This record gives sequence, structure tokens and C-alpha cells, in this order.
Amino acid sequence: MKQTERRRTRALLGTFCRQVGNETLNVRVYRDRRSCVLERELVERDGTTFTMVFPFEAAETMKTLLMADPLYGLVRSDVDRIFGKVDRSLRSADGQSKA
Amino acid sequence: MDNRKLESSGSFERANEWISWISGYETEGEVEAAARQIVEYFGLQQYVFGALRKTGRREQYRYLVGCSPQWCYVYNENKWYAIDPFIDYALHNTTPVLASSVVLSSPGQARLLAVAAEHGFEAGIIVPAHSASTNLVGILYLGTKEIAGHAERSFGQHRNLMRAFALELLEWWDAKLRNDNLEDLELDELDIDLLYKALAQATAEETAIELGVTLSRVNSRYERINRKLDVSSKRHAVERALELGIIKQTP
Repeated sequence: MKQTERRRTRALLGTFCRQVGNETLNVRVYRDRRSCVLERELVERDGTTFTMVFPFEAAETMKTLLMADPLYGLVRSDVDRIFGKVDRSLRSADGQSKA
Repeated sequence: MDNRKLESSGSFERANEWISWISGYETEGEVEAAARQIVEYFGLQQYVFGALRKTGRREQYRYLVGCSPQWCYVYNENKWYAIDPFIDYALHNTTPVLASSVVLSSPGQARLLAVAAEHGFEAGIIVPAHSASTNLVGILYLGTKEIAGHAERSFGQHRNLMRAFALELLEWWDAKLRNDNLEDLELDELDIDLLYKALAQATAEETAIELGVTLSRVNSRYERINRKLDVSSKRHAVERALELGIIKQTP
């Protein structure tokens, strides 16, 4: 049987997970070719998931999106950490593309 | 996609072309940029595209956000997806409709619409999109801050393109999620074939014969699939694969 070889195109730049009452907040940031995407997922106790997908280009945009989150006060340190990682990654990629 | 830069104004032909390009885009960023141009061509300002997947008792709502993020946060915080009259409409209808035509049945729904209006959805259009898969439905919300017949005029002029737009978005996102999940989980075509055999409730022996592999390979592959999907049985692997859109349940 022929097996298809897949080329990995999407890289996880950062993620965090926080329990908020009976729910779980998962935030994931991917770089996919030249653009990035923020996934903000809330999982309810019964397994229902609500995921918002925000494409973005600059790390500052991502931070602004996360700071608008009503749960931001609970995940401020996680947001700062993920912002640092994404910002460094995007700057590094930008530097490589200019080189 | 660099040779497919979108121009800000356009004709029907151009908008139709933009919509037809969606299937070729590789990232959410490209689709979002195209969607904004298409929505602008419709003469509207806001959109949200939702893909709703139901597997067993579990429901997944996944939204591409082309409007104020605050609106989506408020919507999520209030769990309005549980009472959203437009989701109910989309689940049971295929025809695009003016949001104002959908009959509300509770004060909670009226409150939802009032808050939507505060976030740029004063008036809007609801475009359902149905897939070949029985557990996946799309819903495109198109909105405008302008009232007094603006949405009605846009709907009258662009109804068919709106329908095509919603269908292209649904098909694109379904394929994208499938590919991303296959990539993340490192599943191959044999794994997919095995999951479909498990979905059809074929025995391991039947699966081995039909796929032309040994029984021991079938069993070891199922164990590997269970580990990758973080489940303990073939049945749960099928449920998880359906949730992730890796396999589809067809009528």
C-alpha cells in the first residue's frame, strides 16, 4: 500500500492551557507558511468546544486580541510568555527572509 | 498565491473569481484577506464564518472571525451558541436569508441580537452551508452597521454569490482541518483506511483481507492509531477521528 508523505507546513509557536472553573481555556499560536493564526478554544465540562480563529501578521496584533479576552486577567502571565515567544520567532523569521 | 492579489473594488466577475480562488489558498490568513474583499464587494463590513460539528453528544463550534473580536468574546462568554436562532436556522435550512426574517423565540435571543447590533451587526444575512458529511454544517454571518434597507439591497444583488462563498469557505476549512490534524498526528493513508473500516464496523480479519495487509499489521496499526489519538479503543478512535474531521460520516 502506498503511503502518502506529507510535508509539515504548520509550526506551533506557543501554547497555554488554563482551567477556568468548569471550563478549560486552550490558546495555541501557529505559524503557517507566511502567516500566523491564533486559536482560542474554550472547552466546557460536557466536551462542547468553542474555538475562535484569528489570523494575524504581527505579534502585537496577537497580544491585542488576547488582551481583549474577558479571561485576560487570569492568563496575563501566559499571554506575556506566549507573546515573547511569538515575537522572537517572527523577528527571527523576518530577519532570515531579509538576509 | 502572490499572483492573485485582490483589488479593493470589483465586478461580479471579479468577486466570482475571488470566491473560486478560496479552494487554492493554504492558510487562514489568505482566506481571511480574501473574505474581507468579498464582503466589501457585497457592500457589507462584518462577517463571521462558523463550522459546527456534532459527534455523538459533543459539539464543536469553530469560527473564523472577520469582525470585532469583542463581539465573539461576548458571544462565547454568554454561551449564545446554545440559543443562537441563526444556528438553528442553518441546521435546518439551506437557503440564505435576511437575519431580520428569522423568527425569534425567546427574550435571550432578542438580547443576543441587541448586543450584536452594538458590535456592528445592526442588520445581516445568514447563509447556511451544508457538506457531504452529516455532522458538519457551516454558517456565514454577514453584517452591516447600516440600516434602512442596506442589507436587503445587498442580499437582493448578491444572494447567489453569498451562497457560493459560504460553501467554498466550508469546504476549504474542512479540508484544512483534516490536513492539519493528519499532519499533527502523523497519520497516513493506511491509518485513514483502517479508521473507515472501523467506522463501517468491519472486523480485523475482514479489514486485513480487504486492504491486503496481514492481520498482525492491522492490529498493531490500530494500537498505534489509539496511541496517537489518545484513546483506549477502536470505537473511541473512530469518534475522535470524526471529531477532528479526519474521517467523515456520510449518509
